[in-house]
Amino acid sequence: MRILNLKTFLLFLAPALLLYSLFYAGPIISGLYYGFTDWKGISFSANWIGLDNFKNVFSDPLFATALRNMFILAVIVIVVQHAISIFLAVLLDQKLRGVVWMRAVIFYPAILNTVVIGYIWSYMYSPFVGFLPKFFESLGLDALANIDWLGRPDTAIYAISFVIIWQYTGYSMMIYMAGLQGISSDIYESASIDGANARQKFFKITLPLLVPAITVNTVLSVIGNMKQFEHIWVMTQGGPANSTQVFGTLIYQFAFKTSQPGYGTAMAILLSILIMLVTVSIIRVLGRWEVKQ
Amino acid sequence: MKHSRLSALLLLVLAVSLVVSACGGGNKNTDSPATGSSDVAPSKAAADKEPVTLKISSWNPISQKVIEKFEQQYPYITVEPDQIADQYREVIRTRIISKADMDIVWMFPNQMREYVDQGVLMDMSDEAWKGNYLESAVQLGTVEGKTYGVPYNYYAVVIFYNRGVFNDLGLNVPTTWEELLDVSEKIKASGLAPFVTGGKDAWATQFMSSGNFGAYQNKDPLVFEKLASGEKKWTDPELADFFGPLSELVDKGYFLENSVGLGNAQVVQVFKEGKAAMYPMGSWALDEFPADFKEFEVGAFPIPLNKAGEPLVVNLISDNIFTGISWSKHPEEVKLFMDFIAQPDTAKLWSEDTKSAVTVVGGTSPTYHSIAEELTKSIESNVSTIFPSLTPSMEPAYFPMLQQILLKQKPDLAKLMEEMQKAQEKDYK
Repeated sequence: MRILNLKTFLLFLAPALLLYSLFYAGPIISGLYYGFTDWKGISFSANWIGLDNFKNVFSDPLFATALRNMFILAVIVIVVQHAISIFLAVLLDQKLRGVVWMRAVIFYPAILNTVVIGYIWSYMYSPFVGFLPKFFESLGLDALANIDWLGRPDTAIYAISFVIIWQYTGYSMMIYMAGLQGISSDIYESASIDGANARQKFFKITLPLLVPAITVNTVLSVIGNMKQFEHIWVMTQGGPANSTQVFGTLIYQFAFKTSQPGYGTAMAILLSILIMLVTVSIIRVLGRWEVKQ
Repeated sequence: MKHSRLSALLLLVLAVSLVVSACGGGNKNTDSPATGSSDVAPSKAAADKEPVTLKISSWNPISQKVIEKFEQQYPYITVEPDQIADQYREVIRTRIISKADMDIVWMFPNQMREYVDQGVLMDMSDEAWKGNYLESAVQLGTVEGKTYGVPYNYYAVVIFYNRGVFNDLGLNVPTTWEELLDVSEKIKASGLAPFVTGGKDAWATQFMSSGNFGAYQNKDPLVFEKLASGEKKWTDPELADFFGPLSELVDKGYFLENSVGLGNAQVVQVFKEGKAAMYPMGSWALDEFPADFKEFEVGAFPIPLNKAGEPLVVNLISDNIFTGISWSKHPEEVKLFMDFIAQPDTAKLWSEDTKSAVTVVGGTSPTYHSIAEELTKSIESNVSTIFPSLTPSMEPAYFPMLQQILLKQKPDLAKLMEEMQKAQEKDYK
């Protein structure tokens, strides 16, 4: 097929190019500019202050908190979430009664509105009026019932992690099931002939051949959790006492609540660089473990 | 064949319903203005004027009765109320940057101050109606000698209390700090938590420390301007005890245990269930106790942070400043509306309709709520000042400090004041 002529080609390209420049390229470039200024967010004018914003970010104690929480979310959530979803994927890949219904139920939270989930779960966690404390009380577990899950700095981030795992386990389970479909059953048959049991089959066949799916899933989860905003904002707004702050909430706070969007933009730039670095590392490491069938 | 036609039809219905629901989301909260006989003669010149639509942006509903009366008086003007219940500052900021079509906009005091230098607001310094308002109200809307608007409603910062508990224990309403501690100790001894305030919604938990603002302003009315300009610092000795009262209450264990994770809505629920005797909040929360709330009798008293011998200063929160936008297409009509609401009988109507006190002198209805009489009496028998607004970088620094104290982390109070000063310096012009 030949391109008719350059003009027609460009005309067809123009609408998409326009949308892309206005909503992607434009803001990214202007963001890169404003990150180096002291922009107050009201008019478009700003003074260039070089790397001052970035220096301030590194010396901000909240930056350390954000890094720590991001680490917790990225590592703990991913390890737990993916362990559970691989297990569920293998479990529900069999022909059981009602397995399709089970898959739907587990997947369902992933399509629910995040804000609604945040509000409902924060109510469930509430001492005195929430479901969880009353549930523990009815079981006689008073020690657990008295914990203010979202109100204590030492438990808040883990309580939020649980909600994130709850919401997205079904989603990663689906990706793993797709990965499982790609493993030919001949391999399992020949392993059975050689006398392998179920555990050996899982660790020596299933897991290594799932590595591409694990890579995809992990990268998606890591990026998603590093950008995390909604769950934390709805459930604790970065509190209590700034203990659940992450980059997303800090950027929102600085960009929109105080008049320091230049500082917030600098943080956003740092976050993007961090995400890129982490993603590249993960793909490199996991790529080495890929086994071709 | 049938299959694909059916699915095509379903898809079409889905697409249409999506489009219709997206477009139909426009607000329909403007009831058609009252027609029929009016007892106020419309101004003569109105008959030959082109119809004008006046947009008013606000975060709480505008009194419908006042709108109807205004439209009766000026039939050529239609008022279009625009209530933005969430993210108000961000929405208005976006509209101002894009110079959207606006006429009258409510502004928070620190929000208004942001836009004063940018030529966004109409100068109302020479309007005759200024004299109708409380002086402290006009002061709030004035920056560097020019008046840009007036806050209209006011609420008092109070402690709601369970009258049943107080009666059972034979307690009187406290008017000094020592009396408050005494009352709390007796309530705690009886097995009930004295206070509940939550912690998740930090704006709601600030009143036991922010209550100090009144005392500071009473000693020096310009103290917050001075803090904003750098003439005074949060680390100055007069402000050193800012977190003192709150810390004392926490140290004595007067707050309900395990309640820091409660959001404001849940705190109200816990208070209504009788799990704590007192709940510090602004008097707008009177809405939570309508006439049919029968669990217990609710009362309210101004927060007594004053030590014995010092005056009890009531903090009035008044923050809905009516401003005019400088590029409004109908500046004359804006002025007519501002003049209209400054009249005491309009104000009384507004006060009844919105169930709150107003800053127009003589404009507060005495019956806007069953507790209103008791409350208005204690407000009027004490000194009062209007709650200042802090500059934008203060709240993100201040609110987590409240949570630290409530969490019993016992932070160094002097260090907290240093952090407050650091945050203030970020907003120096």
